[in-house]
Amino acid sequence: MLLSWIDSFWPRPGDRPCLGLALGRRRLEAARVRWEGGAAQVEWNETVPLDRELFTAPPSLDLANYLAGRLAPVLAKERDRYLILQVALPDPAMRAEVFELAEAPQGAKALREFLAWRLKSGPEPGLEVTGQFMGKAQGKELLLGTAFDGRWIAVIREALRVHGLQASLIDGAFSRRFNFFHDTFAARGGGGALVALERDYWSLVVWDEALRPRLVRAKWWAPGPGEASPAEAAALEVERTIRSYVYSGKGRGVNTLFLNAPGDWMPALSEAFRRRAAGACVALDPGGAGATASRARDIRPFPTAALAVAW
Amino acid sequence: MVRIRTNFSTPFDSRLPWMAGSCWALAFAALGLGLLLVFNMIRLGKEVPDLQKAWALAQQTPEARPLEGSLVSTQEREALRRRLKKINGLDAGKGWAVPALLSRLERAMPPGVRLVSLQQDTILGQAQLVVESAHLEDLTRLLASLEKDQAFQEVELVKQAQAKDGEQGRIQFFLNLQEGTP
Repeated sequence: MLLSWIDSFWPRPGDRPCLGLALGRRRLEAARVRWEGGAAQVEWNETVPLDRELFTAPPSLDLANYLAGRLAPVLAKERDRYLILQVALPDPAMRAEVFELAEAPQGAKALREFLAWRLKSGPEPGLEVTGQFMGKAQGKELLLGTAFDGRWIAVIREALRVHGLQASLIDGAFSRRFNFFHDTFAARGGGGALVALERDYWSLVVWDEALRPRLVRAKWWAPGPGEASPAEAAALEVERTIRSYVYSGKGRGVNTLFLNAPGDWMPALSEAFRRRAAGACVALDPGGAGATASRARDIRPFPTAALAVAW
Repeated sequence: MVRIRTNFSTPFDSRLPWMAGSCWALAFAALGLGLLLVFNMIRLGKEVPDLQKAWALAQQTPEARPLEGSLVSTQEREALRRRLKKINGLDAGKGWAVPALLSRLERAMPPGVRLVSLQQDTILGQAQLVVESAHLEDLTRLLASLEKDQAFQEVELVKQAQAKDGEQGRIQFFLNLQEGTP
């Protein structure tokens, strides 16, 4: 839960280097970012495949050790150095919703109870919640609430603790991507949507004219036989979701659809989404948002989530 | 425009090493204070036996004991008071001692003047004296000298007369003196 005094501890732009870890179902991506001359430079990035599936079932007891073992080669690069560590959680494993409230819960405890009650989908234990007020729209308070299975967060914390680390930020990948491309969205203006396709899930964030997130949807994706990318399936579902958002309230609109995906998926995705978005579709490149590679030999295609969380 | 700042963790940034350093400094300060308190405790502990002894001594301070035998009777007390009054009366005068008075007079008397008689009341600090000289001027000088002398509060010429012993030309002055503070 965000408290004003905690805000002062948020990493600032000069607080680099920062190591970002983005977790997926079958992979883990890491990127190290250094701040130099007013620009962020990616020093290296790494993708670690996982042979055990994460987030789709309750975690087993030995999973923290397994994850710690997979993290070891990545973290060995940063041994004995002080750096900020931030972790992005996969969007499909997270519940995120924007509430329109006539009256906002007063106090952190009341807010936490409200979010736990609204975001709880079943009798799962230890749901962790966090939220942020985003101002008023049509006389109602907008509250972004997110929830994650506390057992999985405990596994991640334990895996990092094995290496003597503690993350200063653990949050959904969608929020990191939204912040990473924030200036690009602001320059375009109006309401918009970002479709991000990771290797094992797709994620959609829709924002209003005041650039406030209003809708978050995400889904795991597994390629079918002969299927290279989830382009068609994702495009269909995204279109349906955006239409339901636009028609569910007055003054709602999505002027631009932004796309972010691995480079090899982008041509097919752009084609599929351009057809549905009537041309108002912009492909996003992390390099276009200011990220540059400090040493080309250490950089593989930018993993957006890992890069965004290290921003 | 809003940036998302939700977080499932506790944020901290590059100030963490400074915060950790401050915590260590506080811890060392607390340790130093603790050691100081322990040292004081030991020192005070060593003082306890002495303080206990002092306390015990204070507790044993004797109370006023009643006088043995009978008290002094009223008659005896009255007799003592009378004796004391007499003793006080012996040296309670305001006047000078005779040698002191004579020494003063000797210094004041011009040549050719002699002291014929002297009577002194040491209680009242008064003296009657008779002086004589062949010349009136000598006696006048004596009078002036005595009046100037701060040792005498008052000088009074009581009588002036011719000497009785038949010596021709001898004049006698009868003077009263009030002595000042010795």
